[in-house]
Amino acid sequence: MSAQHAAPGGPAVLARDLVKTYGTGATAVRALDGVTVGFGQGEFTAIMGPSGSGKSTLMHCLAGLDTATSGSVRIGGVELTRLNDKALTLLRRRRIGFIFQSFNLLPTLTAEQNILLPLDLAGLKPPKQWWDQVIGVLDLGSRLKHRPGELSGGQQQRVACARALMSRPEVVFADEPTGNLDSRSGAEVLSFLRMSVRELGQTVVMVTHDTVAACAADRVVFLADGRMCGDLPAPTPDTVTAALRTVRPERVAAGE
Amino acid sequence: MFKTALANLRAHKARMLLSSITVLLGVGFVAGTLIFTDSIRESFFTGFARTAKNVDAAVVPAKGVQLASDDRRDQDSYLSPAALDAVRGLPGVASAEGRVLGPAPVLDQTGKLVKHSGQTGLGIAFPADESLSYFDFSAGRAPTAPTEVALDKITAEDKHYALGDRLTVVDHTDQRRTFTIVGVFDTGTDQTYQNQSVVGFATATALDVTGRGGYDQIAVRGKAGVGQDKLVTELKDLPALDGSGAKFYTGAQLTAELANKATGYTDSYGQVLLVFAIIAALVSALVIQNTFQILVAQRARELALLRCVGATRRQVFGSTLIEAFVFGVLASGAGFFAGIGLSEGLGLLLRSFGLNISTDHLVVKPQSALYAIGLGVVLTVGSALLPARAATRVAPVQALSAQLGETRVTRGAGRVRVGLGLVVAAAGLGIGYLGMQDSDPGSGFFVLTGGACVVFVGVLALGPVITAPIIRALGWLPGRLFGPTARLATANAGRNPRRVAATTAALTIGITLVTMFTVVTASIKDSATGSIRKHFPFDYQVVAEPARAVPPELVAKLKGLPELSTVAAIYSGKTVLNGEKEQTAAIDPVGYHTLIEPVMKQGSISDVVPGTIALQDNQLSSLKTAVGESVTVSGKNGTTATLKVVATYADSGIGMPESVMAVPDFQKLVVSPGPDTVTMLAKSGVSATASRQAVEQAVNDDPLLSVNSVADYKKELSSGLDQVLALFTGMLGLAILIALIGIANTLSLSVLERTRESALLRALGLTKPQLRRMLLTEAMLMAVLGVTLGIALGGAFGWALVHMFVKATGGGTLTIPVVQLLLYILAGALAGTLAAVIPARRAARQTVAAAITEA
Repeated sequence: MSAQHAAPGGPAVLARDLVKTYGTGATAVRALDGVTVGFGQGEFTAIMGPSGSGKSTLMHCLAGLDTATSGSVRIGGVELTRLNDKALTLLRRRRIGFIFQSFNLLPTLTAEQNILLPLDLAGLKPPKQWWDQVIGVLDLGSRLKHRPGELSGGQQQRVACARALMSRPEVVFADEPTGNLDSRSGAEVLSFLRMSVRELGQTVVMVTHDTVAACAADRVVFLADGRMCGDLPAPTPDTVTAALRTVRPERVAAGE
Repeated sequence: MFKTALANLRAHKARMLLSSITVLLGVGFVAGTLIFTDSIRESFFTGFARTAKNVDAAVVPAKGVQLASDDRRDQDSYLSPAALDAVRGLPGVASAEGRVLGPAPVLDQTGKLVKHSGQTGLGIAFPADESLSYFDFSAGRAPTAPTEVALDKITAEDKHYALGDRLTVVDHTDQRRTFTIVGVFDTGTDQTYQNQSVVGFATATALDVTGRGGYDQIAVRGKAGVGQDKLVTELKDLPALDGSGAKFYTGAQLTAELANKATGYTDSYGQVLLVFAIIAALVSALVIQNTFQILVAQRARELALLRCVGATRRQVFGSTLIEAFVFGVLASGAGFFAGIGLSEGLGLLLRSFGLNISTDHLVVKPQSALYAIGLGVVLTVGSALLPARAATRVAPVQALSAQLGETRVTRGAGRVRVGLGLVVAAAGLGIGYLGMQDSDPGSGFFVLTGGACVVFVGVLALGPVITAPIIRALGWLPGRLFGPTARLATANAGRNPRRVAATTAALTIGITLVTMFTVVTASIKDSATGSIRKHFPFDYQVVAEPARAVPPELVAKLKGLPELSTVAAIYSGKTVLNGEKEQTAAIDPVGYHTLIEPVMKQGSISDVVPGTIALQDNQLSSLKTAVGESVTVSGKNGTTATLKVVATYADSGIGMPESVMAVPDFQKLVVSPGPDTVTMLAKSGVSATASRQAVEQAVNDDPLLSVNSVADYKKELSSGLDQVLALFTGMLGLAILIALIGIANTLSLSVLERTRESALLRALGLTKPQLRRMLLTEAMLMAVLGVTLGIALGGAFGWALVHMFVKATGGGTLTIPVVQLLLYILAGALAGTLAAVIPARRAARQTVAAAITEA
């Protein structure tokens, strides 16, 4: 279990002057161009922005999946940019939970094995009470022995949620968690994420381009061309849509 | 579609590279075998053909023109010196020379007999007419005087003999005769001599030393203007050769005959090699088939897109086959060139196992290229047929569906396959059982082998069904030891049973054969030594060189030694019983029950007294006799005798000749220089060192006698069998290597299709070393599966063979060399792990962020 949570209310994740460049010379692309952003402890934040705005790259860098070209990322007081691959891997295993858009689960493992995988890799087991609570809330009790191929998309995503929470990580990163789901299943996943923040004090950072999903968050930050360009607390569909128009009106009009 | 096929090949260059190595090796082995066989054939022929050089006509006795010295040992007719003189007197003859080849052991500088593979040397005659000589001198000249000798170059170098040195030769009466070396000659790659020492004498001396009654051949050079046919006519009319059964050849005919014999002689090597080469080629076909299958599965979306845009099923099928064809031509072509190098390797391998096969130069015939490349292309296109059919089944809509084959966990096999597999395997077992019941071990062997092949096919069909549980069982221990990575590996190895079954089948083939050979040789070894202990319980044996005897004084001396309890002389030879040629032997009666105790069928071995005979029970029918009846012996010098059959014994495979008679009868009836073996038991209470020393002292370093103990015998037997096993394993090594490449190949392709999965694992906290370890374990499990299955099948087949052998001989035991087989599993695990090193490294290098977002 991750031991040192940051002080309540303080930033669980903090990025400063984050730059990520792909390629070199004339063909170099600045995917992140000096991003400074913090995500509060126990806060549910959505990152929005048009395609190519760098929101996925930002999430990868924040989560230690990718290394930034320059700048700093701190998770619970640990500076990620100074860690080598092994240390980053161990940090992901112990302090970060992941929910991806698709392909979240290993097809060879049962739901239960998938949920336990990060802990298993660390040689740990979840406390029984916590296990029961998470499985109960997600209503997965009857699905534990199934393999992903035997689960619906919504069920698969709930298994991914259980996995992300099981190790009580410092932060859960969710990359378009509802992108592949029908609206009902999507709403279930969102409400579960909200509840984990409300009731369990979990920090959640979610990348999305779905306005409905973003409105489930406490706060929405907007990204365009690799830069921060907006920060909207208590989002509603109207405010989010308005904010997106100012970010990149022509792209939104074109149906983004 | 042709263009699409080529584009596909180009696009999948990396994927095809490993697969092409397997075809390359398979075809290379076949090509190498063909080239090697052609090369040794030509080199054999060059060696043999020397004897036809400058020969216009030749006369050989009834059983002449034998190529190897071994064959000539049985030769019993020769051309007399009088006949040679008569030939020389013919008008058309410029010169004629008698050729001699006989035993002529030589001693080295320390007085020991020079031996090669247990064989002592040969003597030949150097002709007075040098144009009819067939060896080149590297130093000195041909011997002409009765005190002169020439020695072959290899022996001269080995034993440090030089021109002018004195050389001791043991003649046929066991007398040592000393000669002066006047020449050193080169036997080259001539297979007649098989690395034995060769000494050359002037013709008359050669007859004298070898004790041959005449010549093996009379070589004739005609006078200028006399045709070869004319010469042969003259020879045929010669009264001195009438009725001798001699054969006549013109020089041209002799050359042709030698070439013919050389071909027959080398083809046996070629056929054995070819069997192994075809096994390797079949294994590579399996690997290729699997590769195509995986590629088609991976390209399902591409194929579906092709179908969407209007490609017909037929076109998809054709495109896949064209791909296979082009691939087959390229890989087989490369394989052929690799085969040229491999043929050299084959020669080195065989020579390192003591087989004397050397080549002068490589002979690369166009038909070798045709056969090897043709086979490669047929195998590749054949292997692509099923995958190509699978490609046509890809529905166009699959191009549009998101989740594709890549990450599917396939189910095992359908009921039809299970049913068929079970039926075929059961049928194979039935055939094998019938083979084991066959009373004739020869035909039984073939039926059993056929049954084993059928069982194998059945097991291959069942492969996908039995793979998953076995993998789970095998993965249990690593899972316990190495935790989650090993458990992930087990899940991965078991996720696609069809693919894993096909991949490991290639390995199973090789290991099945190796295990079978291992079990059979181990059983023969144990059975033979066990049978020695039980039926021929000697402590020491004094054995004379072939065609020589242990001197009677020595036998008496040994019988007088206080360290020994029982000493018996054994005589062996050949005789004619009821018109059939039979081996026979006799032993001093003191040896009955103490030194020989055959598996008796009727009577007792001690019933054999003068006037009686014991027979191997399987001889009764061929001699048309029975216990209590008599057999007629056609003895030496035209004598005949009648012996009563009093006992029969089983053919235990070793030790017992077809008949046993009493010593006085043997001496009266059989041509023999005396006892060839003296076998003895030490007195109890005398230490092994003391008894051995006493025997060795009595023998007193006589170079023509050797002292063996049971331990020596066992060691000799073991090393011989171990060598055969090592040779077969070496030959199967290439097939096993191809199978291992197959594992590497399957794993590489699996890693490619599991890129996202690996990235997910890395995101969730699997470190790079853990990812590598996971893939290595997966490969290890596949290898161990293949090896274990092979050991089970090979062990069963070996058991059946040994069972048959035991039944046929009435003795012997099955030995399962457990430690050796466990070592095979360990070696398989290690090799499998090594095969995965490169794919595992590649997988670990992949960056997580890039892979995880890949659509």
